[in-house]
Amino acid sequence: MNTRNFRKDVSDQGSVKGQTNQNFGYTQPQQFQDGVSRIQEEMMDPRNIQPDSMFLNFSGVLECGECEDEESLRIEYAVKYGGDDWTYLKTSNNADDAEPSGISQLSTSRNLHSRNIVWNFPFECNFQTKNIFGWPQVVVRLSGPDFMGRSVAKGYGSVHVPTQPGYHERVIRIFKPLPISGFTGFLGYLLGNTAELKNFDKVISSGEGREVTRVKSVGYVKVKFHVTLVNFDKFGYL
Amino acid sequence: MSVPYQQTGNQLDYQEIKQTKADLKAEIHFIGQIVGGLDFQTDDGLFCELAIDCGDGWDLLQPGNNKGIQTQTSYANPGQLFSWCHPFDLHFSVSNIIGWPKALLKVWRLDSSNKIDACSYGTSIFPRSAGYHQMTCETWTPTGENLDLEIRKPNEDLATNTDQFSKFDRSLDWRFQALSFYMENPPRLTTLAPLTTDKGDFARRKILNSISNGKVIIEVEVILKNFKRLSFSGQ
Repeated sequence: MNTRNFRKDVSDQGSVKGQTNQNFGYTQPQQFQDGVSRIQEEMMDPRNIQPDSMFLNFSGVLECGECEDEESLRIEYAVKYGGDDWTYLKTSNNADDAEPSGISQLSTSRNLHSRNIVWNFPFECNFQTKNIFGWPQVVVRLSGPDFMGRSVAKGYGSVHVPTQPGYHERVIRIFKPLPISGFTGFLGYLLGNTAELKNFDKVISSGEGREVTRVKSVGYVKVKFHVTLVNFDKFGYL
Repeated sequence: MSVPYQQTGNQLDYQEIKQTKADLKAEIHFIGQIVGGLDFQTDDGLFCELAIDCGDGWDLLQPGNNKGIQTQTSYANPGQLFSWCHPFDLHFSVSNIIGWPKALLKVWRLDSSNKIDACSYGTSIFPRSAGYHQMTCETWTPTGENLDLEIRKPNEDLATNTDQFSKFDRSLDWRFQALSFYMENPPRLTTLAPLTTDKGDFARRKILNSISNGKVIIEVEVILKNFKRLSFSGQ
């Protein structure tokens, strides 16, 4: 190996036959062959560097779900995060990658006996942050055709991205807003204007102003997460 | 080997950084969701209110106001979950761990005539270790008071005053039960003091009678900062 030969050269140069090496313990900072001193190597070691921000990289799959008696559904997701400290890092310059979101295919349940609808829709996001507050949440919306074939919202739900690194499975409970009265509900059913949430990602992720809404539980969605945290131990977390 | 250097833009330009005192303080993040309620056995809509009770050494940094959480009103079929799905994100700075935060829960009922009324109460303690936890809080509904237990003075010994223990543990209960039958609503607590040990009125909880009710499910992820450095457990 390189180092072994180098050391052998140095000791042969400085020593006289019969004389032992006089500097046993202390050695001056050695010059390695490529010219980097030991102190410079210590400064470049990643374990000694304090970075200025943490990174969160997660990917996952929106697997499958059920919504009462629905046969065909599509799932849309958006990742909402605290706006000030968190930065979403884009991986491409496409216009649809500006904010982390996506819309899946329209999928149908297999037969009449099971209402399980499979999307198997993958997603991946990168975030840069200096603060834990505002941890990202995945907000989902299920939509599908009504009796006339118009696309209406069938349910909403949200879940926080797991904070521990590794593989996690989560269940998102899905709920549907109820119409204000029986009459508006019936009219909405006919016209395709069922009770929906405008800006669903902001309303569901923040929890503000939801005291006056009435909802009904309609189902669930299973989601799998794989999480990697970068620099969290340098900031004292983990 | 543990001297932290700050890497600036230039590859060979490093400077030693000084850590401030704030970097070494203990902080906790509770990030989670009030998922919903189970087993409430009612056809009315239910919503949940959550208030956070913590000691003096706990400082809620974010969100700025601690006005409590009120969820949406949910309806469910028998055996189904009442889905509230209310996310929360709490950031505490800890200077003294006495008084670990507790969630004081109050479940309200909205009946068909749009009247709201208290349904049940519960207390749940936030987890003390990092990671994902599912808190299940069983709730109870007060059905009345037993005022005979208050006659006994607090310093007297139990053994010598057994005759002052009320033989009728439900002696004054019939008033509340009659009222709740005709008014169709259970009695309410006047304060949330009986739910938590930190306030002085917790001792008065012994005069309450209650009946069991459903459970509230809260999913929470806990992130601890500097707990290992300060030799606190949990991280």
